Amino acid sequence: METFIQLTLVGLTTGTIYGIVALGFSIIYASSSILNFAQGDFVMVGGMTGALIYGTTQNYLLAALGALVAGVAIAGVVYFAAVKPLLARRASAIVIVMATLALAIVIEAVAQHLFGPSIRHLPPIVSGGSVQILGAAVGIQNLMVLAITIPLVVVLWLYLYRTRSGLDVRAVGVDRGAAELLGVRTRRITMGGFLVSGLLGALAGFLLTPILGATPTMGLSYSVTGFIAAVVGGIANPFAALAGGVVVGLLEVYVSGYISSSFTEVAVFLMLPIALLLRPDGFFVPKVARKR
Amino acid sequence: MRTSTKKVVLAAALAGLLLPLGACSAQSSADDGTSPIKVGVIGDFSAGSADMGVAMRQGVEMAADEFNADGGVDGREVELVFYDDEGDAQKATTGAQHLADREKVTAVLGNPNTGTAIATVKVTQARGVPQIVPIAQSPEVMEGDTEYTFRTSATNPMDIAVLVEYAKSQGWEKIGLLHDTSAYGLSGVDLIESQVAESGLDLVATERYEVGAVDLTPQALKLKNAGADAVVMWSLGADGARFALNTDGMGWDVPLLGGRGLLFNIFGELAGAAGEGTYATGGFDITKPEGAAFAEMMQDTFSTTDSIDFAVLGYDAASVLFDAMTRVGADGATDRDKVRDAIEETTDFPTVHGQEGASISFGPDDHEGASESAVVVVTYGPDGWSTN
Repeated sequence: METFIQLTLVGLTTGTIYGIVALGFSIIYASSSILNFAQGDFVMVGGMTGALIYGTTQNYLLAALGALVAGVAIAGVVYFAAVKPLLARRASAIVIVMATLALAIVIEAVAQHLFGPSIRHLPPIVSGGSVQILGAAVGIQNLMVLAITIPLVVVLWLYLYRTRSGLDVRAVGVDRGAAELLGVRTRRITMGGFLVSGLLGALAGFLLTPILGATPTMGLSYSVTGFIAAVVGGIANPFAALAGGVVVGLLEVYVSGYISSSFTEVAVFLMLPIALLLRPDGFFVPKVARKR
Repeated sequence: MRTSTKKVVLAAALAGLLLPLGACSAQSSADDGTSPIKVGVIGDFSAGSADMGVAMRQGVEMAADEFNADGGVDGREVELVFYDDEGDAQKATTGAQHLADREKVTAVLGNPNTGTAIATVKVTQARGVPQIVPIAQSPEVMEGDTEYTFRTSATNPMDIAVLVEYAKSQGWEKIGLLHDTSAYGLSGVDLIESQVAESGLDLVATERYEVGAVDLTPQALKLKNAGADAVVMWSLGADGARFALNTDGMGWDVPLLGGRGLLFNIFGELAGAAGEGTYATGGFDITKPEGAAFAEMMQDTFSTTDSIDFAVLGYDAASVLFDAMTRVGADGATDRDKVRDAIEETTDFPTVHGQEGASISFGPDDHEGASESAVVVVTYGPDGWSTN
């Protein structure tokens, strides 16, 4: 039982981190039907910029602000350099996806030159390592990640489901053409999706750096895990995607803890075909909301 | 269009064939017995493992400056030619060709990484250029034809033997193994398994993770439940730090031991106090007088002693090479074959790295110069890694 509680707590915190990345994927998908494989690089840019600014100024708040600004800026670059011109030319979705992947490689290479290749770090927000919850240990910084991101997710939910302009965003996700005909400014919504997603990614990166360190090459693995989580949960619905992240996080720890850590990666990757076969729209998308 | 492309390709191919020939003839005629002796230094100076490559280069530079200040080989100075392989095997191959054919270096020092060292060794071996590998520890580097290849660093099997022996000396009998799924992590698994068995200890569980995994508590729980009384973690610095934090958080006070992958600054930055008491294999012992003197020299020259473990290995490899050249004498010091033979004759050359009295010896059948005395067990404390 103690093992179960310990594993579950770790899985929930890790899963929420994956969920934040999945959420970023999903916000962009919902507002543009584009899969953005530069998503993991928003995380990287947040972590690296934060660590760099903190390293030179020793000012935590400035580092956090810088990280968020850099995340939004890099998301803006992806949108204006690749997505907007391609959307204007009515390029197919696959072309745009490939463009984001190409940009991800460019961002990584530029980051290596700008930041240097070494792994960088940030001190945790509160020092002290970990706390005991129900007899199980959880890292304080892991809890800080949740404490800071979950309220933001709630705000995002309120915006999407309780405001008029949130309805516009969701309308674009369901049918871009129809929304456009009804006067929704779809391009502006797509741009907003990218910027919010850049902000969230950079925040996750900044909060993760005290746990993991930050390297210029860390982006891709977040893109992959975040993508799997988003598909498992339901990529068209940001909160289903977030739930998908939690499922992936729990799966990882249960497989590592009860079966063997040799199978962890296999199990996570297997989730993708299983989800696509059983519930292509995702496990957490309400049936009524699914298109036939 | 198509024919002209063909011509260009053909011309390029011909040029490629002829170039090495031209280079060979140039080399034998250029040497006047007084010009500087060119030595190639190749490693990752700018990409992911630059901490290690730059430190190696700094060590080589210190050795060369010292050697030239002492008059070089009867007045002939050594001139270093650097090539940045960015940790990439393809670039290492190009670099080795460039150093051997264009720069016409007499010998090559490098590469710090295993993958790039394997690539470079193939080139230098084919061209008959003596090469000393200062840092890369994997046995694979020396698995091919190694007539012209020498290694001055301890190998992975030596590190692991010392680590396991250390665990045994402390009375830890049930060993848990934790490793990542990168080339580095996997390289240690078989060696650790066989060494642990050989020394009569018990390997109770093996757990793995992907580099950068957010939390290693599940792995820690399994190792704890398997009854491990020490954990060997074949991990890189950041992940090793996370495991130290996770075991600390669980309240599991278990001794942790690792290889040189832990020796990066990030280990202490992330782990802080939770990392204290972690053991690792290293090459540098500051408690021996030569080590302390080296640290002072590095501080004076580069205003840093970061990654000194790798700097000292670069320094010793270069010193072995310069010693061999001195024995050849000014007339033949640029003759690759004579230098190769002289390196092979190196016997009991004292090194700055390693334990008190560690030395390098080569022989016709033995191009692995180091022994287990080149490995030092270091402990992480409030002031970083230091000798027990």
